[in-house]
Amino acid sequence: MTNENPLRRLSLALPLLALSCASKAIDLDSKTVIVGNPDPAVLGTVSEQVVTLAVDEQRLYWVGSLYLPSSGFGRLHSCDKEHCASTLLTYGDSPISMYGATSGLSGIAVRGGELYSFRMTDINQESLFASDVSDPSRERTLASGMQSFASVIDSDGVFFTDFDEIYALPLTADHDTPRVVSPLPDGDALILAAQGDYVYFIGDRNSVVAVQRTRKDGMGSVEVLADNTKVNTYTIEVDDGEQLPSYGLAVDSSYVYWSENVLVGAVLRCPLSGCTGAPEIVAAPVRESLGLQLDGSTLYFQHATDAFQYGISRCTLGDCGQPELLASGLNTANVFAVDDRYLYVATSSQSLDTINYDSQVTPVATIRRVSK
Amino acid sequence: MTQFLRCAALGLAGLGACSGKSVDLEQPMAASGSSGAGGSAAAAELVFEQHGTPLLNKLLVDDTRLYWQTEDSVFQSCLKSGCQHSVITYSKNADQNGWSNVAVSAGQVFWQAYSPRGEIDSCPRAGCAGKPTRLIRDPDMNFDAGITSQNGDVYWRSTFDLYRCAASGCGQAPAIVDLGERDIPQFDGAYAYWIDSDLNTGSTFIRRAPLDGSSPAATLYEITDTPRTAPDVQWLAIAGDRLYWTDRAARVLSCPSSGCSGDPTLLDSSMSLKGYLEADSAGVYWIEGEQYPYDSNSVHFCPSAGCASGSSALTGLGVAAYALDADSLYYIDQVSMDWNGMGGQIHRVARP
Repeated sequence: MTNENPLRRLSLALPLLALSCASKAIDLDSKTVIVGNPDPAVLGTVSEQVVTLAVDEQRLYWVGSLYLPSSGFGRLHSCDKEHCASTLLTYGDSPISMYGATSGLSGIAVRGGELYSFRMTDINQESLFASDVSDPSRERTLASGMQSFASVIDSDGVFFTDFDEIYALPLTADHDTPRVVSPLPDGDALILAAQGDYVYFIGDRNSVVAVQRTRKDGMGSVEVLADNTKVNTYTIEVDDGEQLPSYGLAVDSSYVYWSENVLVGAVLRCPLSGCTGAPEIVAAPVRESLGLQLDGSTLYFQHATDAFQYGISRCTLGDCGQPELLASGLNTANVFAVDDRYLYVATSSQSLDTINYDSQVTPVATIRRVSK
Repeated sequence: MTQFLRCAALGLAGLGACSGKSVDLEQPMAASGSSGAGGSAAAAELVFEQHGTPLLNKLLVDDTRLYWQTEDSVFQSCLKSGCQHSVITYSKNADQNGWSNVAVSAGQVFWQAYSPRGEIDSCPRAGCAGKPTRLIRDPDMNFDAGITSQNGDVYWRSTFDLYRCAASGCGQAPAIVDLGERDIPQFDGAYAYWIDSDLNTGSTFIRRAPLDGSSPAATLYEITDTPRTAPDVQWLAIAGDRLYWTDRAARVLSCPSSGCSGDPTLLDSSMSLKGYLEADSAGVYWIEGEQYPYDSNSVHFCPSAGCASGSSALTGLGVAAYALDADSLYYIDQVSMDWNGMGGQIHRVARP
């Protein structure tokens, strides 16, 4: 243990993330050990929980944690997709807060050769960094001194929320102050997606969970696209405290899709301008429908397969009566990524309900890919 | 009779706190006459006792066994005949947070596990013979609402829905049940009954629906636009053709189980706190008393025809929970606990 960086021993004081661990410290010097595998379908095995994945043409990116997401912080890594074990990179000295990383596949994003990530720089304070994907030492700071619980990036910029407001930053920001896109006096935002002129989000609104959108330029008011959704926003009690629920939200050129993350859940959709009646059922029943990704007309969605076990299924939009289960044994909720050829997942044979801050169990995850 | 037992969470919340009611406690109890310390109104038989262990605080009974929890979340049972020497333990992590986190039906016991919360485990009532079966994990499970079971199925509430799962397993999609909007239902014969409310208008309803879904839910009784201080429905019990409930003013009321055609019948209007209603063909039972820690609580009874001279106390004071089978009333007597507040006894008296 060194003392080079005071953040290497952070008290887990972020109340929403570490409800049971407020007085504990975490050793951030732990090294990520990755072991290769001759099986081309296995990129490597890492000694950590993999809690989110992203991919670009060359590399695979992930956030790893020693504990379940409820326990606090993670580190950001990447590797070459074809030679993962020998090309491991770690980005930044400061950790990633788990909430943004796990709430809906929006914690990290790679764009134009840069990896965008919100990382903790002080207690309850984050900065938004853009790191050169192949050289982590080349890093710029877009903004500092905020908190992000969910975020999304597109060509118009970075959009994020601290629950109370939705903010925007241009991709070229340089220590800028985020612009308020939309205050949310009647509720909050829990997961974001972006399409065209709008940021779409799920959040409470007057005590009802609704799918909503707001203009990126901040003009106009928030529009409710679907309300009274069966989206659970309550914290989930686990062994070592409370775990925040995971969500699913995706947008294409015509529809906004979301997950009902309850025991007998579903994937639903409405036109981008909102539903005039009941939302259209895309896939149902889905056990704890979680993260969503659209790849053309193919929908990938994560869901529970049993207690503390998750899988990925896919179906063609309009024909989701019998989705195809592509992978099971996933490491945690919302941990998959798709490129042109593969679906990437992190799996574990460990029982996820036994890996927590108090158990002292070392997590192990295998990063795999499945041909599309 | 209603479900096996709507048993007490007194150990955690107390009678008043559990039901969220506010009544005038200065009014003397309607009828008692018993002196506590196990001295019940009828001759009580000691069925089980334990010492040096946490308090007993919940009780169920079926045709062969007695079931209870202790305040350290242990869920146990024994044979009704020879209880003391036939105790088995199902779980040491059964939740205590709701008013009934354990249930038994068709030879199968169920409990909400803790921790992690959101799990229902099950075993044959004769014992687990190894690890309990994890029937389901529902991260959104409402553990405060508890569980109930009927015909071997277990029911629980989540934020949005009431679910049902068979003891043999839930599969990937347990049934969403349209019985009970914000309450765990009670079962009697071919019907489920539940307390419903309209949060916008403040109205309270007693509703029922056939278990086979042959007709939609019907409203049996409705109180409209009730302010928080006015009567509404607190506890519900059903037995055959009669429906019983308590209101916020601690009255015991009754109607035909097919619905109230006029004003309900007032059975008891003593101002003592009442809760944990049970009913059979003879009448209605409840725990009456001030609050935790049990000292003033006893089981009262009123015949279905009414009790104009006041309800009768069937037990002495110090009752933490009770349960009814075909012949007897069983109750946990906490007056008999150890000097250091541990242990407790289960007694049995004949039903009226």
